[in-house]
Amino acid sequence: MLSEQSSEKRGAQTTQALDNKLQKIAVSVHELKKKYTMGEIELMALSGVSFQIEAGESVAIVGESGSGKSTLLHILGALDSPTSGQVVIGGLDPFVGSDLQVSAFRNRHVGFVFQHNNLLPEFSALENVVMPGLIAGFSEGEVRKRAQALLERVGLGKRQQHFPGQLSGGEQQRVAIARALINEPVLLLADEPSGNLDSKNAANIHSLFAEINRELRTTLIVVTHNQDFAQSLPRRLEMRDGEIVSDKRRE
Amino acid sequence: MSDGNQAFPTGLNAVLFLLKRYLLSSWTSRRKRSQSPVGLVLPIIGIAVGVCAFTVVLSVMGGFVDGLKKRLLRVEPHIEVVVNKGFGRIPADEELLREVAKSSQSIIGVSPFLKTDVILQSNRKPITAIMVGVASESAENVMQFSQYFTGMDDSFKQLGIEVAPFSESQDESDLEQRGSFPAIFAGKKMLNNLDIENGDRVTIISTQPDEGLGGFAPAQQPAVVIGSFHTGSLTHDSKVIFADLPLVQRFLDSPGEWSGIQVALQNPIEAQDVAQEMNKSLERRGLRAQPWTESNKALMKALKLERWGMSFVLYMVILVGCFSITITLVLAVRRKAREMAILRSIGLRRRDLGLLYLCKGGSVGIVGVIFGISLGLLLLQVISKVPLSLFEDAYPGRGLPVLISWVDLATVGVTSVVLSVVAAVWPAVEVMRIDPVETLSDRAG
Repeated sequence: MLSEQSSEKRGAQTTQALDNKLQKIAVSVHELKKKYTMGEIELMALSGVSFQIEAGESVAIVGESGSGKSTLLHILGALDSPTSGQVVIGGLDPFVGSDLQVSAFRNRHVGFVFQHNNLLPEFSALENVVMPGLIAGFSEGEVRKRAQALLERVGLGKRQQHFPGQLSGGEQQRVAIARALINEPVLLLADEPSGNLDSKNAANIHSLFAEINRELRTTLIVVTHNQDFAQSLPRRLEMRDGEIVSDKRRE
Repeated sequence: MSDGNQAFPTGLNAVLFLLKRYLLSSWTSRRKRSQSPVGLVLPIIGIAVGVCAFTVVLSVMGGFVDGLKKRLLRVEPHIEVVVNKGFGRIPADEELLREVAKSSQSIIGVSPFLKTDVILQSNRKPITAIMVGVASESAENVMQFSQYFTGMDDSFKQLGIEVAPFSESQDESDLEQRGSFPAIFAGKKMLNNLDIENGDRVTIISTQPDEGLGGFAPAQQPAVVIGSFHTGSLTHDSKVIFADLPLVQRFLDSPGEWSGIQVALQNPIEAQDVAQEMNKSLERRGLRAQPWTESNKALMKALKLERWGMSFVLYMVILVGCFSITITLVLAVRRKAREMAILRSIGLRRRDLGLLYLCKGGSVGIVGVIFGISLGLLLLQVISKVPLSLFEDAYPGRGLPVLISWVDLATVGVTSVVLSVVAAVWPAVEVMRIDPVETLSDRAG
C-alpha cells in the first residue's frame, strides 16, 4: 500500500520535474533544519536554511568548520535526511519513499565527490566509473563505453585500467568526478574536492569542474575552503552556525 | 542511456559484479586483492574438512552396514511366516504355501521349515546347535546358500538321501557301526569346534527328554555331515545345521508340522512393506509375516542410531566451519566499511549490500562443498583400494568396503551451503547498518 502511494507520488513528482525544468529551478531548499542528538546534547547543524539554485548554475558553499555546510551537502545528496523543511531537486523530493527510492535518487539524480578515498580500491578506474551505471541496472558493456568517454574527458584516457593505488590524488579525484557524472545527474555535489591536493592539482580540478559545468550544464554545488576556487564560481553562499549569512553573485 | 529515466535501479548487476571481484580477487594479483586470501581460504577449508569427513565416514560406515546386511541376508530368510503369538508350530499346509507365494509380486520363493534346539555330538565332544529342517525341493529358492558351500554337492536336494560316513579320519571302531545315515549340512566353524570334517558321523540328541521304555531318554539320531558352509555370519557358521524336513519332523515326533514358512523376495529392502501387506490376510489365520529387519531389530536400531549420532557430530564440524564464515565476513564488513559506504553513496540499496554478503557466504559454502566432496571421494578411492594393517583381521588383503550414498552427499552439500548462507546473515545485517554519512565523514562540516 505504502509503495503504491509513494510511486503515485513519484509519478506526480515526475510531472512536476518537467514543470521545474521549464522553470529552470534545479534545487529548491525551504526552511531546512537538521538537529543531531548525542546523548543529552542537541546540536543544531542547520537552523532553517532556504535558497534556490537554477539549472546549470554553479555555486560555492563556504564557511568555517562546523558551520553546517557538509551537513547541507549530505542532505542535498540524500545521504542524510533533514529534521524538517523541504528539499526539491530536479523536481523530486529525495526523502519520499523507502531506502529503495532514496537509493535510486542518489544513483540517478545526484553525483557526489568526496574529499578523499572516494574510490573502491580493488576496482580499476574504469570499473569505479562503471559502478553507478551497473547499480542503475544497465549492462556492463552498455555503460563501459560511456565510462571510457568520460575518463577520456577528464584526461585519464590512458589510465583507465589503473587501480586507485596507482593514481595520484588529483587523478583519483578526476575518476571520482567521472563516476559522479556517469548517470547524467541533475546535480553534481562536491565536498572539499581539492582539500587534499597540492595547489597545482587543486587548480586543475577546479578548472575541470568549471569546464564540466559549462559543457554539460550540470548544476554544481561545491563545499570548499579554497577562497580562490570559491571566488571563481558565479555564486557563493556563506554559512555560519547552520544559517546562510550571505548569498553573493559575481558581477 | 536514453531510457535513463525509466530504468529503475535493480542493483543486481552491481551485486554480481562486486561478488565476482571480491571472490576472484583473492586469487589474483596482490594489488587487486579485496582481502588477504587467508580470509576466504580458512572458512572454505573449514567447510571442506567437515564435508570431506562426512563423505568419508558415512561412506565407510555405509560400506560396513551394507556388508553386514548382505551377510545377514545370506543366511536370514527375508520374511518368515510364523504363528502370531509365542513359538508354536503350524500344521503343514501346501495350500497355505501356495497362498503365501501368491500374496505379493515381490516374492520369488517360499519354503517351509521346522526349527529345534539340539545337542550335536561327535566322537570327541558335544555342542549345542539349532537344527533347521528344510524342504529339500524348495529350500534352494529361499536361501541363496550354495555359493558358500563346500562339500559333496552344494544342493539342499542332497539332504533327502542317506549316506555312509566317508571321511578318512573315521576311526576304525566306527567301521563296525558303518551303515547309511541321513545327510546334514553344518557350519564350517561348528565342524572346527567339534573337531570333525565333512564325511564324519555325528549324533543329534534332542534337548527335550522323551518318555521311553527305559524311563526318560532323549531322542537320538545319527547323521553324516556331507557338506559345510562359511557364510561370514558367526552365529550361523557355528550354530546351525540343516537337515531334511521329514527327518526333523520324525525326530521331534511331530509329523505334519512346520515352524513356519520362509519367504525370499526379489528385493530384501522391501521386506517390511511386503510383510505388512501379507499380514492383512495372514492375521485371520493367526499367523504373521516377520521381516528380517524385525528379527534383527536391535541391530538395525543400533546401526541407525550410530549413523544419526555420527551425522550429528559431522554436521557440528560443518557448523564450526560456518562460524569461521561469520567471523571472516564480520571482520570484512568492519574493514571495508568505507567502501560499503561509498557504494551506498552512489546508490546501492541497503538490501543489495545485504544480498552481496549472503552471496559471499553462499559462495564460500559452495566452493567448500565442492572441495570437500572431491577430497572425500579421492580419499575413499584410496581407502577402498589400499589394505590397511589396522583392519587386516576384518578385511584381509583389501581396502575397506565403501558405499557412497549420493542422496546423503547431496543432502550434506545443500545443507552446508544453506548453513553458509545462514552464517552470513549476521555480517549482512551489519553491512546493512552502515551509515554512509557517519562512515564517510565527520558529521559536523
